Amino acid sequence: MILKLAIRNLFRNRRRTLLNILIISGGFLAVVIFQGFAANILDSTRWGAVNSQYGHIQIAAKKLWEKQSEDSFSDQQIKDPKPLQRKVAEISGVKSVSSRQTFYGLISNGDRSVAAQIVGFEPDIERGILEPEDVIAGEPFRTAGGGSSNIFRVAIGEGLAKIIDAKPGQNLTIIGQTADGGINAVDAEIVTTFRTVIQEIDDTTVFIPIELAGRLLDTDTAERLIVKLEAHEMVDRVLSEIKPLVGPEVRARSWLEVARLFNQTEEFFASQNAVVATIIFTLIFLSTVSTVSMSVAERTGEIGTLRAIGRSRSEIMTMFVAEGILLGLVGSFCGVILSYASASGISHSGMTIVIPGASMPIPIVIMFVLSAYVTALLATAVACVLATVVAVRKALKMKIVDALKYNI
Amino acid sequence: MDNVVVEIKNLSKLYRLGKNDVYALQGIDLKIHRGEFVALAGESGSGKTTLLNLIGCLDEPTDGNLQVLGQNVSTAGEKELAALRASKLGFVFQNFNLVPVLSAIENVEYSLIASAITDSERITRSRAALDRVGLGDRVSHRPDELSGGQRQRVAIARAIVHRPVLIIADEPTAALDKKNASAILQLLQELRKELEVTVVLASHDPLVLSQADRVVQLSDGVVIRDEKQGAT
Ligand SMILES: Nc1ncnc2c1ncn2[C@@H]1O[C@H](COP(=O)(O)OP(=O)(O)O)[C@@H](O)[C@H]1O
Ligand SMILES: [Mg+2]
Repeated sequence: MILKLAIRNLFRNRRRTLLNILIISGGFLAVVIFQGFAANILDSTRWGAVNSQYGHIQIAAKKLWEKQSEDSFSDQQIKDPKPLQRKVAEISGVKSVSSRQTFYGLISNGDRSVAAQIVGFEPDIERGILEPEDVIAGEPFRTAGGGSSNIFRVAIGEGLAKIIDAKPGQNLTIIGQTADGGINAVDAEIVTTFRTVIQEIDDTTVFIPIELAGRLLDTDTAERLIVKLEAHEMVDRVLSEIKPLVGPEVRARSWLEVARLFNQTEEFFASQNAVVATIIFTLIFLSTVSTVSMSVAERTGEIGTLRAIGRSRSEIMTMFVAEGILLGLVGSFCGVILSYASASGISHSGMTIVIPGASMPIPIVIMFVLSAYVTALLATAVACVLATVVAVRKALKMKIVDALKYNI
Repeated sequence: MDNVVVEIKNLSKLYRLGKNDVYALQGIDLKIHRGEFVALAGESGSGKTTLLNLIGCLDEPTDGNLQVLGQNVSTAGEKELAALRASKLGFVFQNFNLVPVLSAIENVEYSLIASAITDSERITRSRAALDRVGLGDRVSHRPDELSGGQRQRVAIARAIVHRPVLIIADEPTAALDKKNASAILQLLQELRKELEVTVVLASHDPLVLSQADRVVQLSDGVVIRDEKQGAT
């Protein structure tokens, strides 16, 4: 009976019901699209961060993590990294383990020199850095091919290359400080100019084979080991398996602990999502309050009559709440369809967006975020029920005899 | 006591309108017995509706004592009064007050919604009530598909389906033409006898008053005449 009443009453004023459904589904759409969009940006940022910067897990000396200035260079290094590297590589789910050496140095191609972040890495093991699509001039950056001369090659970021007007084929001199504090320089050939998704890297970074870094710094230690996994979800398990493998001087951390920028991005989007969702559900709430209030006002006489013949306030409230829920459900249902259709429409439209810190526009893809749908559904339900309660409570406060004066 | 359905002693109802106090009822004494057909008469504004609302446990008196079916209306809680109305009272309104989105039978069923009976019994009883008021062939019509007289019959079916002790009808014929009015009145009379129910109605229509076996005349909130008439 309650359901029957709810459906018929909603049908009674079709235009008003339709308008409310439209508002609900529109709000639903906005929430889902916005969150799906944010999720996609987060996801690309996450992959970008993991691939080109952080790996899933980083292993380094405790003293490096703590970054005390009085610690010497060698205190902050992993001594004899190769055996650890091999053991970690055997853990299931681990895709690659490679060593890195990051330091600051001067680079020069003759007339001009500039400070740069030098990243020594293992280009043949660590995939994701300098993928073929990142290469804008020169050749893909690899050392394999035999012969020790292959380690004398560098890849330079697009922005940095512009500053010193460097091109593939030229020689680059890298000057740095050795492990014991001396000054050292090596010459290498620029084989690659690259452009990643993160502009900051392109403007500051030179990639070199870790062997070259070892030579320049005169060390065979590693600053850190970068562990890449088959899936983001494996981080915790692999972390716990790494723990017993490392000595007391060394600690493994997940990339999330390391990646400040990503955390900030995530927080930013989380608060954006919350703000947008709050605004939209407030809108849904207010429009439902107005719809139900109008309906309640028209049905004051009915409410009075039903109470006169012995129906309690709570029964009448239930009747209206059923309408509210139904309205919310139908609105959400339309919202789901609308959102899903628009999301795939937008994702396939090939539109792009420029995000701050990214070097090129990225395609707008609306990810399917189940939690966004679930949140929107729940929030719509709550908004509709709350709106009904607010609108009906006032009418139920009226005395029966006063309500009965209204025509039905 | 068993025989007394409504007992009113020195009942007053005061409405406060700003600074002005309006006594809609003042010092009413009245006893209504089981099976009576009582008409409250009086000009517009004399207090008929106010008194009926009090007897119907829809409102609380300002002063005095009001017992409906042994229940003291002033001291009873809202829930008790609602339960009393749902089980023992039946209401008929001037403008029928049917739920517009429900069919005739659904409107009648609504009266039984809280009763502990099966769905099929509820439907059977509602159908029987509609049959009794002569609308057995209109059960699935909506109120706006029925004439005024038919609507009031549905309302009466709704008011009797739960076998109440007391039917309260405020101007039940005022919105009807003469022919329908007298038919409705006739129906109420018949039901009163069949169901041994007590009927209290308010009206200023001489036709209605002539049908009642007791007329209580109100004027400015005071009973000015209370006499039995005709043979019952
Ligand atoms: N809610 C109210 N507020 C103030 N005065 C009221 C209210 N209801 C009724 N009255 C007054 O009480 C008196 C009796 O009204 P009512 O019982 O409706 O008379 P009747 O039904 O005989 O026409 C009238 O003077 C009316 O104006
Ligand atoms: Mg009146």
